[in-house]
Amino acid sequence: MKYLYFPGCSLEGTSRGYEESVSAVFSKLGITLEELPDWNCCGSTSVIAVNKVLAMVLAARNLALAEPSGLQLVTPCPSCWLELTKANNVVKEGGKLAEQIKEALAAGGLTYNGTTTVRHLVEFLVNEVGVDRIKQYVSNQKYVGNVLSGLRIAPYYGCQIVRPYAEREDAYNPQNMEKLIEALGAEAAPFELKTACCSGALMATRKNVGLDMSRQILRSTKEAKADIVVSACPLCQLNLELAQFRNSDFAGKNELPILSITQMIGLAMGIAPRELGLSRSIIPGVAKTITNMQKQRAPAAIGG
Amino acid sequence: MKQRVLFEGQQDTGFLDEIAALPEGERVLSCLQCGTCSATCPVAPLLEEPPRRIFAMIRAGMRKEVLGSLTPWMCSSCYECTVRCPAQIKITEIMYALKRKAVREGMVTHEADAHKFYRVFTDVVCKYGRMNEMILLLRYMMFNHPVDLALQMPVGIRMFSIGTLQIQPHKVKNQDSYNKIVQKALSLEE
Repeated sequence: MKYLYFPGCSLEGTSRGYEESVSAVFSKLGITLEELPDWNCCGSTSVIAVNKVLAMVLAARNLALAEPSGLQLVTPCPSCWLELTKANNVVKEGGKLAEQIKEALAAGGLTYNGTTTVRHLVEFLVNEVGVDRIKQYVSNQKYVGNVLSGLRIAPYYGCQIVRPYAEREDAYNPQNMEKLIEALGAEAAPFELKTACCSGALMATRKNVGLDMSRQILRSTKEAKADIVVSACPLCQLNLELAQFRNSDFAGKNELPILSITQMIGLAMGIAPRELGLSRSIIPGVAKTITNMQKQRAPAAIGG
Repeated sequence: MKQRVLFEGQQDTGFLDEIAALPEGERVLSCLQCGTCSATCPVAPLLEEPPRRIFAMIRAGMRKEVLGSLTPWMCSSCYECTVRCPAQIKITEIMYALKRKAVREGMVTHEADAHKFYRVFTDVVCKYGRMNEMILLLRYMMFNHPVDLALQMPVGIRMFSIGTLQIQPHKVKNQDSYNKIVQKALSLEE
């Protein structure tokens, strides 16, 4: 099966590691993700704070570019997923804003009829690719385990995967990441703040507030005795890393590795950390930290 | 906490109607003042006017106070209030609407500068079609948080060395069509 892929701007910049892991994992799974030709920024939470028509038009341009192919559009970024879904709903509902979107698109020679399906990567992995298929690729799970077997992984959803839209997911107690973690032979660490906000762009505009919000999440994952935190959002991953890099409380040996969902899956599949972009983590030595944890926690699994 | 009372003559009676007339404001009249929004808002403890109070102020016709409030600028778009509101008010969308209105009417509080971040973000996207985080952060921080920018150098250097901050912006290829779409969108009124 072939799908269209909408990486989003962060995956070309601050989250290049996430991007590299998506392409490594999907090429190993044998699933074609074809990048949407000439995509543009979804507008995120910023453009809509300046100009709503522009925000919806920007998002809709991508939907229009995807429509003729008839393929589903998959994005690894919750914010892109949210904005594209929002624009999709506006067009489907009709009304003044929908007409304005069509008018603006027409100025650039595009039309959009509201038929593009947009999916977020996590839900896509669980419902379209399937947990069983991923399990088949997890290296030697039955016999000697993989680098993640037995480790406690905290599934950090953040906001925009589950709010305000939670198609194909439980909005209040999402489980898709837990399913993936368990498929890899790791243990999902339940923690209180799994759908709390990392602070988003407040990390830039109100640094102290942003740091506090991200630290609260880190504290909650530590209370849950998590070895690793996994995120499916470029900004969550960045903020949790920044909060540790900038904060002496978390400096040194206590730094938690923050992985993207596909970095986690890729590690369990036996893909080399470098191919998964782990060297692009702000916290240095993530791959080594995880291997060391594995050696300490599950000597039996490594030794057979 | 500042005590704010507006007497009848001082209230802007049209303000509630204005907000209710917005596409996202249709349910604002159903607000029960239950406080679920303030209880779920992750930044509410830091706010002088948590979301519930903002809605009470909208109803009281406190135009200047609402549009001049810091609250919308502290909203991180987590949508916690939106999904929990028993009156199904699209609170996050109303916060966006208040941000846009505050800028248009020149009422942004001097305590906030998030609007400048959003402005730079929008300018970069209009120009290139895609975001470049380096340009965004440099342009925003240089003018608004110069000291912070200097203090962030270690993080910046680290991110530069791992290749996650890039100097060259990524651009859309079909610039001509993209520009026409953006110009048209900018010409349309909300």
